[in-house]
Amino acid sequence: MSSTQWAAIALILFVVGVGIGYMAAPKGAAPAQCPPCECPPCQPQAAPQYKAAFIYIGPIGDYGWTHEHEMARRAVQEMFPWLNTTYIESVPPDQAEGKMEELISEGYNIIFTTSFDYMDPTINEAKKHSDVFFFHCSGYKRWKNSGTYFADFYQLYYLNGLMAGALTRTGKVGYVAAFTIPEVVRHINAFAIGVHEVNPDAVVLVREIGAWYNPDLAADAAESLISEGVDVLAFTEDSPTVLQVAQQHHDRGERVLAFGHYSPMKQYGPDVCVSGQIAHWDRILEDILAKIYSGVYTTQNLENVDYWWKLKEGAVELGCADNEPINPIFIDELRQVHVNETVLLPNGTVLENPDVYKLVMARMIQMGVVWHPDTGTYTFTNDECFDPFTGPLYDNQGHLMAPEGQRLGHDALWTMQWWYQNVQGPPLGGG
Amino acid sequence: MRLVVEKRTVASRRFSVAVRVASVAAALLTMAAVFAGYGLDPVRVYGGIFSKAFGTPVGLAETVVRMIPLLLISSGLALVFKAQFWNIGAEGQFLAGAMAAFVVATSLPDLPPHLLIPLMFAVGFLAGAAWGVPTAFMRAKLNVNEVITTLMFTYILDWIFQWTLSGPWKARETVGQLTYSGFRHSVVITENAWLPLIEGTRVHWPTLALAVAAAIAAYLVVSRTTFGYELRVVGDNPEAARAAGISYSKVVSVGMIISGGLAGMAGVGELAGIQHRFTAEFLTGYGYDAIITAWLGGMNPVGLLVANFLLGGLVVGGDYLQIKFRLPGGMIDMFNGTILFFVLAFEFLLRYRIRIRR
Repeated sequence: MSSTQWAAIALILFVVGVGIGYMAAPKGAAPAQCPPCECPPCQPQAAPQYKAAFIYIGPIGDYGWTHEHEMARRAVQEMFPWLNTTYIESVPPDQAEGKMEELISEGYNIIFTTSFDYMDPTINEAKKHSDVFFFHCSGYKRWKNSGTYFADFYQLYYLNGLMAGALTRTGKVGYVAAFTIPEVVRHINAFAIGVHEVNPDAVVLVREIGAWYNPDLAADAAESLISEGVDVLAFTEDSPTVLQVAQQHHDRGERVLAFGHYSPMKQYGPDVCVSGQIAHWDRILEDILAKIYSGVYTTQNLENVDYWWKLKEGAVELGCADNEPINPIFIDELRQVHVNETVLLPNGTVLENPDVYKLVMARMIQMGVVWHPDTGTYTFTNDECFDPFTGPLYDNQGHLMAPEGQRLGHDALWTMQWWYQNVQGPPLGGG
Repeated sequence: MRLVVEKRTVASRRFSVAVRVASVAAALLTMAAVFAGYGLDPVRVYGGIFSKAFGTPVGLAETVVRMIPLLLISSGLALVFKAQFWNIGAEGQFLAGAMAAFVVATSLPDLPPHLLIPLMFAVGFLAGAAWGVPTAFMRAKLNVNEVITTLMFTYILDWIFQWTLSGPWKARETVGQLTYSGFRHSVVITENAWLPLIEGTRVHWPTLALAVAAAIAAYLVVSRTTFGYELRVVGDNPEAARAAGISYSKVVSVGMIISGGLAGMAGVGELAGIQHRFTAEFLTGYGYDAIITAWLGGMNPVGLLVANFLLGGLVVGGDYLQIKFRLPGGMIDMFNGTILFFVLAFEFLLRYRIRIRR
């Protein structure tokens, strides 16, 4: 045998030896539930009963999607003393099953998978581990021990669209989209419906970048939209890039406004961020975990458990900062634009030709949330009497997609592959 | 007194192994300093990584899952690197193989597994080779730097792939009463095309067997055949090779067929053994990680096995950094980068001798 081979075998033996040595070594903290430090009143019987693990598609530092899931994980960790949590970030879908196996072998018995592409891996693992709870975010496949959940933004995008329609001076509104999957198309269309309601002549230009997290491409797309005359931008992508681009233009003396997405992003564009969408996944997680703990949910009855939470449940919030639905510097401008329509509030109040600020607040009330500017708080009425996806709705080819008065249902929204009439976007569908 | 750098004519095998081991050790020491900077005991961290990746059944199986494509790709890379031909585009050749296998599996879904699976591997090999060979041709005939072309070919194919996913290969699916195609993924390939797994794991053993065979075969080709000799001469001394009548274009083309083909087969294994469908995130960087292990393992089957097993384990054990020690997920990429950095830096010592001259 050559010396190379001897050296290689020596290296293998070394590695295996280290591993075995570590395994065989006495482990100080392993048998007792009580670590030697950090827990003076040792109560082994109060040890966590549930261990929940989160699998994230992106880095926590994206300040978008994954960041908000992580905030929710920390919130429920604080909330429930019987719960122990962990996470793995930046997990490509092909490795999700392997990571779930590793987590389950570490004793985790509630697995949250937070990206659409984890759908099949989650179901596969649920079938393999019938005693573990699984919850998949944003998908539609369920199993007896695997539920689904989603905090939907389309109502917020509609409210953002109302403001965008009022604030655009060029009549061109831009949208940077990660992928034109149904969820994003639904959000763009809701946004476009809002724009159209206030400003029937304005158009919505869409750029698809083909990545959930790619700040470079997002910046390119935003710049390209601005060069085409867009002066208000919204986006679905996991970084604050679009907001930063708008702020740079503002700093050069140009008027480009934008909306935040997913987290309170106002700090990235304090002078340009009009409003936006904020997720509160902790509301949903809290409900799921409390029901697991109290025995309402078992590993036998999740087949029909599907959370599709919106404004009225408090799972989503309007704004680009917490408890600030609209950036105050834009309120006066919104008050000067009036819309020629009549809005009926649930308490019987009738608004004639409201200004856009009032219209936004009125629509929010119609979707179950009342904002109190004096106290800076929200109350929830749990009463939804308005939906942006109510007919007549035409696509941009002129087809009638919903007749007068008809509201699109869950399946139509979850499979949406057509553009609203004022949208100029990439072709959809295929196959 | 000054330092002088001289070209080293021959490095002994013992010395080259020692340099490679030292380079890994230097990388581990550097990362130990990073862990210490996070306030963690490096011994505990490394103990955790190694016991997780090599000491538990689940960890060991996942390490092998990660090793399979790396071993296949790096066997081919190590071979073509012998000719000093730098194929940086294994990621694209991997994708070419997977895409070709997908076409086979979706066009012949009723073929029984014992015919379909070998056919997919064969077509995958050809597709990977076909995607690699033009770069060898451009290098040989037009003297275009292959580092650029192989990398660019990967980007070209990746964009074609992304287009197919949003167009012709986009799957139609049903939600409630509605059929539509919205999500950027393909259909799931027929179960006839799924590779058998070792019970209770995700180890697709046919690809594992192919990978081990490829590592041994590549070694035998380089060390025992005329072609292997030509490969080495072209790499060590292109002038001498030309003088001896060895055709540069033939040598690098055949080298690229083998290298691209093996990467293509790794792509087949990934599609048929693990993912079963394409998503926008099908590629996870095996083609790039295999460059590290091809350097580290050298043209030696045992070396390749060890290097790929270690790197696979590092990725699996790296999860432990997150689960147990709360380190950021990017740490494992930093780990890989540090290893590559030191391997390449130490390579200098194999080629040059540093002397102190008075």
